Amino acid sequence: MKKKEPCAQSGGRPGAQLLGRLSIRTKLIMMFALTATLMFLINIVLYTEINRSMQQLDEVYASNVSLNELTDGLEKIQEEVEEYLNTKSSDSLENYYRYVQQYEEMLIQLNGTVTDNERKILEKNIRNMSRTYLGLAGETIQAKRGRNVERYKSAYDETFQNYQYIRTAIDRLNNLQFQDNSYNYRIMMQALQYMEIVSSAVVVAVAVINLLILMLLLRTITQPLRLLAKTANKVADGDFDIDLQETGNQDEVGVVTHAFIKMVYSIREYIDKTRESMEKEQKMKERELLMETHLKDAQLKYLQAQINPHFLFNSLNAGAQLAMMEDAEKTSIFIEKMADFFRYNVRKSEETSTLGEEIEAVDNYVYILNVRFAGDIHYEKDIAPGLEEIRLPSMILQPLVENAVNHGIRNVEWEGHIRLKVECESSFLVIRVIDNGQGMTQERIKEVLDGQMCRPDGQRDSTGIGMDNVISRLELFFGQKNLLQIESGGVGKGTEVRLMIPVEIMSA
Amino acid sequence: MKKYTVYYALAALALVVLLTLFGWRCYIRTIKKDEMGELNSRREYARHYVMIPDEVDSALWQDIYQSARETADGMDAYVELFGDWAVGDYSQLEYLEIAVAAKVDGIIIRADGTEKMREAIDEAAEAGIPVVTVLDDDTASARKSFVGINSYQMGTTYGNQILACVDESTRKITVLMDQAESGKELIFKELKTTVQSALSEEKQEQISIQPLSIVSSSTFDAEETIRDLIKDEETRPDILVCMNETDSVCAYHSMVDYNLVGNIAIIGYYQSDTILNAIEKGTLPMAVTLNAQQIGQRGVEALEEYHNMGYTNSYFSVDLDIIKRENVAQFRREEAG
Repeated sequence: MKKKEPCAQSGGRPGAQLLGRLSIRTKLIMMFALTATLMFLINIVLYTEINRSMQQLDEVYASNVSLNELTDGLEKIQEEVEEYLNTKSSDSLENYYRYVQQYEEMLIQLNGTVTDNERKILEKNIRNMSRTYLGLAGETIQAKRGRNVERYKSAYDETFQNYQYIRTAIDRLNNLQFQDNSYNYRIMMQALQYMEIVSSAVVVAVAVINLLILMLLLRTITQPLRLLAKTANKVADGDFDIDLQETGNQDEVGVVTHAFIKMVYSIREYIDKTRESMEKEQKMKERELLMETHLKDAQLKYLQAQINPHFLFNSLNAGAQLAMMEDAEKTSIFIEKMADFFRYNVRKSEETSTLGEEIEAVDNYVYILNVRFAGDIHYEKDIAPGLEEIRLPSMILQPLVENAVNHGIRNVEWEGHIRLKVECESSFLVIRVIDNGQGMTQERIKEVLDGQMCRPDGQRDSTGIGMDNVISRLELFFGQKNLLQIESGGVGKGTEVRLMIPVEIMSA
Repeated sequence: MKKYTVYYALAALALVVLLTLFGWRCYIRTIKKDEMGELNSRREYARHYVMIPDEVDSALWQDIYQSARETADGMDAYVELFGDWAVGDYSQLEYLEIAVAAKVDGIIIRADGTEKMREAIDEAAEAGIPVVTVLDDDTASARKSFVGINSYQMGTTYGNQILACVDESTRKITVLMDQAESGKELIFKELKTTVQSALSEEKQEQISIQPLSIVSSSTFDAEETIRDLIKDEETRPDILVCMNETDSVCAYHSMVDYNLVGNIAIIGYYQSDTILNAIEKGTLPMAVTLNAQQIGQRGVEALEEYHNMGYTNSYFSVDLDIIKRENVAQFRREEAG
C-alpha cells in the first residue's frame, strides 16, 4: 500500500499564519470586538459631526439674542433720559449711569474694525452711532442739570433722532443676521439630512461587510470540520486511503485534524505490518504442512510396499546366514545388501541424511537389481572426495537411479550404463545421474519437471517414490525452484538428470 | 484562499469607512467655503467711507458704487453703500446724519441743493468728516470736492443732441426735470440757448422748448406724469429729453405702450439695459451718459487725497458720452467688462 505523508500547508502570508495560529474562540472574540469597535468608531464620528452641526445651529440663534439685549439696553437708557428730563429724579439719573455702563460693556463686544463684511461694518456703525448717541444723551442730561432749557431740548431732539437711527441699524443688523442665519440653518439642515443618509448607508455597509467577514471566518472554521467529518465517515467505512490535508491552522479544528490524520496513518501502518506478518506466517505454515504431507506420503508408500519390514529384515538376515552356512557367498551378500537397502529406507524416515548414506543406498539398490537382472546394469560412480558428510533430504538419489533403470536402460537392446557423478561446481553440489537408455523427448522432460507425469498403475517394480515427490521435497527443503534438471539428446540418446544443491544452504 | 478573502473584505470595509468620512468632511468644507464664505469674509481696511445715492437701485449708482469699491479696495479703504436699509427707508439727508453719527472717514453723496443737506454737509465737515458730492454739486456747502459734469457742459451736450433730432415736423420739445435735483435749471437754460442759437428765427418761433417739472410727492409720481404727457395728444412732444435714468426708461416704455415709436424722439440718460436695447433696435435715437466708473473712482480718490494731504481739488471732471446706434456695442462691452 502506498503511503501518503500528511502534508502541512506551507507558506502563506505572515498575517494568514498569525490568523492560523489563533484559536476559534480568540477568532470569534476578535471578530465581535472588531465589529463592535468599528460600529462604535463610526457612531462616534457620526455623533461628533451631528453635535458640531447642532452647535453651529445654536450659535445662529445666540447671535440674535445678544442684539436683542443691545436694543433693550438702548431702550432703557432712552427711557431714563426721558424720565430724567420729565422728573429730574436722582433715581433715573442713577439708573441712567448704570445703564450707560452696561450698554458700553455690550458695545465693546461689537466689531470696531473696517471690514468688507456687511454685518460687521454695520456693527461698527452701531458702535460708533451709539457712542455719538451716548455723547448727545450725556450732553442733554448736563444741559438739564444746568437748566439750560433751550440746549437740552435741542440736544434731546438730536438724541432721540440718533436713538431711532440706532434702533433702525440694530433692526437692520438683526434682519441681516436673520437672513444669514436662515441661510446657515438651511445649509445645516441639508448637511444633517446628508449626514442621515450617509450614516444609514455607512451603518448598513458596515453591517453587510461584517456579516460577510463573519461568514467567511465561520467558513474557515466549518470547512475543515466538514472535510474532517467526511473523511472520518470514509475511514469508518474501512477506507484508509484518505487524502486529507492539514488546515495549516493551529486552532481547535487544526489540532483535531492533525490528530486525526496522525491516527489514520498509524492505523494504516499497523494494519500493513500485521498483514505482512500474517502473510509470512501463513506461508511458513503452508510450507511446513506441505513438507509433512510429502514425507508422510513417502513413508506411507514404503509402509504399503513393505509390510512389517522388521520381519522382512530378520527373515532376510536368516536367509543370509543360511546362505553362508551353505557356502553360497553370493547369495549371502545379496540378501545382506537387500536387507541394508530396506533397512535404510525404513530407518531414514527422518528428514535428512548424508550424501554418503544416500550413495550407499544407491549402491545397494543397483547391486540388488544386478542380481535380479543378471548384471545388465553397468553402474559407475565418480564421487569427488570430501562430500560424504553433506546433508540433504533422504531418499533423493535412489528414486533418480530407479527412474534411470526403469525408464532408461530397461528394454534397450544395447548395454545399459548408469553413471553417478558427484562434484562441487562453484557454490553448488552437483549430482548427475547419467544413463545411455531410451532418452526422452523435450515434451516428456517438461511433463516430468512440471509434475504432470502420470505414474502408470500397476507398476509394481518400484520403490514407490516418484520424481514429482523428489522435486517437491527438494523445493520445500531448499526454498528454491529448478534444483532438478533433465537433459536428453532425444529418443535413444540417453538421459542426464542433474541435481543442483546449494552448498551454502547445506552448510548453514 | 478563504483567509485572504477576509483580508479583502476588511480592506473593503476600511475603504468604505474612509471614503465616507472623507466625503463627509469634503462636503462640510465645501459648503462652508463656497456657500458661507461670503458671509464670513473678514478683510480689514484702514478707512471707512460711505456712499449715499439718491436712487440706490439704478444702474448708474450701481456702476458708480462698483467702481468706487474697486478703487477703494486698492487703497486699503472700504466703501459702504447706504440706501437700502429696508426697514428705515431713509432720505439721503437722514443717511447723511447716520453716517456722521457713525463717525465714518468720508462721505460720497449727490447733493440736492436743499438747505438741510447743506447744513448736514457742514455738520459733517465740522465733525471732521470730508464730504465729496457727485453728479450734482452744492458749491455753497462745506463739501471738499465735486465729481461730475458742470451744468453748462451738460446743457450744451443736450442742446446739440436735440439739434441732431430736429426736423421739419418738429414743433414741441419737452425737457423732463426732477424738482428734487439741483442744477437742472442751469442745464435747461444752457440747453435752450444752444438749441435756439442754432435755429433760424422762423424755426425758433415754430419750435417750443418747455421744461416739465415732475413734482414727486410720492414714489410713483414721475411715471404717471410721463404717461399722461405722452398719452395726451395736446401735450405730446416731438422730442423728449430725459435727465435721469428712471425717467428715460419710463418714457421709453410709455412710447412703446402707446405705439408711438417714430413719433417721439426720446433723448435718454445713462446706459441701462433697456436704453441700450432700444438704441440697438433704433427705437431710441440716442442717450447721454456719464462715465460712472470715473465718478466712483475719482470720488474715492478725492477722499483719499483729502485724508492723506488734508486738501483736494474742489472739482473733478468726468467724461460725457453720447450713445448712438453706431457705438452701442462698445458700451455693452464696457458694461460686460
